[in-house]
Amino acid sequence: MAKIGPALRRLGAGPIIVALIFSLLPLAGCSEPPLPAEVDLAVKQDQDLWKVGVPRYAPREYDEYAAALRAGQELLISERSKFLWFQNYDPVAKLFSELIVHGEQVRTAALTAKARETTDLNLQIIKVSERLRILRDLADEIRDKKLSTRGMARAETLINEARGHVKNGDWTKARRTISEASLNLDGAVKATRQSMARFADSQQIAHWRTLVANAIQQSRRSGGYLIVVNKLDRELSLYKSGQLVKTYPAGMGINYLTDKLYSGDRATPEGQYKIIRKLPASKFYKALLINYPNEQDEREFALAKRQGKITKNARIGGLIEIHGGGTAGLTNGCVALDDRQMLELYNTVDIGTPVVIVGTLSANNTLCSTLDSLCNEY
Amino acid sequence: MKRILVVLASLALVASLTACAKAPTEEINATKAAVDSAVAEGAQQYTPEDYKVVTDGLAAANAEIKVQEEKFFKNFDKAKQMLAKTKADAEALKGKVAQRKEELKQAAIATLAQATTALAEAKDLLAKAPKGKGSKADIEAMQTDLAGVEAMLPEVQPMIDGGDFVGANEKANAILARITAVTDEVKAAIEKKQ
Repeated sequence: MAKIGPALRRLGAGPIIVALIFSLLPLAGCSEPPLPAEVDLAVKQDQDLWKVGVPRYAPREYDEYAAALRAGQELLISERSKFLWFQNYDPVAKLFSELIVHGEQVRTAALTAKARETTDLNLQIIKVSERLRILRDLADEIRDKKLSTRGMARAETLINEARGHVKNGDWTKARRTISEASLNLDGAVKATRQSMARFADSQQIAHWRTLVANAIQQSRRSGGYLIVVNKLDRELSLYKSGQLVKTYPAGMGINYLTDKLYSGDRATPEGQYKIIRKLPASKFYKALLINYPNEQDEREFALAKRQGKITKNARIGGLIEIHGGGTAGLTNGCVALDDRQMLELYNTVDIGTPVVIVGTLSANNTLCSTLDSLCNEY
Repeated sequence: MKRILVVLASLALVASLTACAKAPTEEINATKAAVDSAVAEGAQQYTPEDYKVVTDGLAAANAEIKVQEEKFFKNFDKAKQMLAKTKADAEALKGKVAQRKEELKQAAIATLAQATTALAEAKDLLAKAPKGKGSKADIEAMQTDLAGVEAMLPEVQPMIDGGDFVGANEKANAILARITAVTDEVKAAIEKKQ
């Protein structure tokens, strides 16, 4: 060893030592100290936030958090880039510690937003479903084809679809689907209201009331029988000498709320008629044939043809009866009673008995009030 | 002799400083391309968790490269390892996304087929249903219902064609549920009649 010293001195040891130190420096630079635990925790937290859908449920809050995380990572890069002896991870640890707190706040905000949005969407679904239920119930009660629209089936399917989107957390699609369901329902309500406008028309209702009042007065004067059919209430009332004797539930056709215009429209006529024939052995137990079409019907039919509302080949039809067969089924425009009640009526009235058929006598009828509520409440 | 040693020492120093000095550009580009490819396949939509892992992996590798670029003594070995892992993950993810998409597509196609079959069966059942006085109104209402649902069926295929498999599946499922409900109503009406 004593011999090496002079030898190195002879060779010029200074530069060699400097070179060796520099050669070893990179080794020292590669062995970095462990990063603060908060860094790893924050990275894992970010992945967890992503996993639970935080960017979707609280996008603004998550963007702020992500920006803060990026700033933290920049600080980390900056510290790591420094020469080993000058690195100081205390500010990094502090910043990442704050980020973890921030991340938890964002998680809470996201879960709150998720719960709020899910509740809101479910409430919207309930509202549309409730409107649909009301319309369906009305359709079941009224049993007229105008209330059995495709719009309702579509709305119901869309509600099912929206439920799936809410379950998947796809709020955008859920909102769009609920809105579409609501629009379909609005369309169904609007179409129904338009086609049922007569039942909300005070003048029309007054006309029907007058028809019935006059007929009752006539019955009172003559002491005879009178049959009044209230289409909307699906009732047939029997009067004698202007006094109500009995009311029977009545069945009609799929298009019964429309005033009959032509053969095959399956509508029940409205107006003043009379029994022109009694059929003791009808296809539907017993029947009372009325004088449809009367003069008024013929005028309306001719006008509709002129106006092109019906085809040139259309015929006015006939054979409108009050018959048995039961109230549950559908007629092609006739008024159906249960057989036992038909027998009672058949045996009571004679040929020539007046028959008044009206849409409704109530201005605040079920149909209008329900349709109004469907339009006004939502 | 002394000069030779000084030169050798200097060369050793330079060599030690420059041995790991080049950023792994090729690896960066290859990894980025692999990640982009997985993203283009729909990773964010179909496998969001895995998407986060690879994009975070790429970001971490870039951070490591940035650190090394700032260092006086550069060493990109760790960055290269990170890039290699991220690239492998991204390549695997691309396959996983494709598989997930195919699964969802097949599920949507299967539900659509189920709904189409159910509709045909419901229509058949409705046609055979006794249209007596007691059930005629119900049957007419059910026919309208079915017609409304039937009109929605053609909306599913374009969604599948457009890649919205989840949406298509939800719509087909909703249609199927409505058809099933109508079918049950038809069966109930038939039973009531019998």
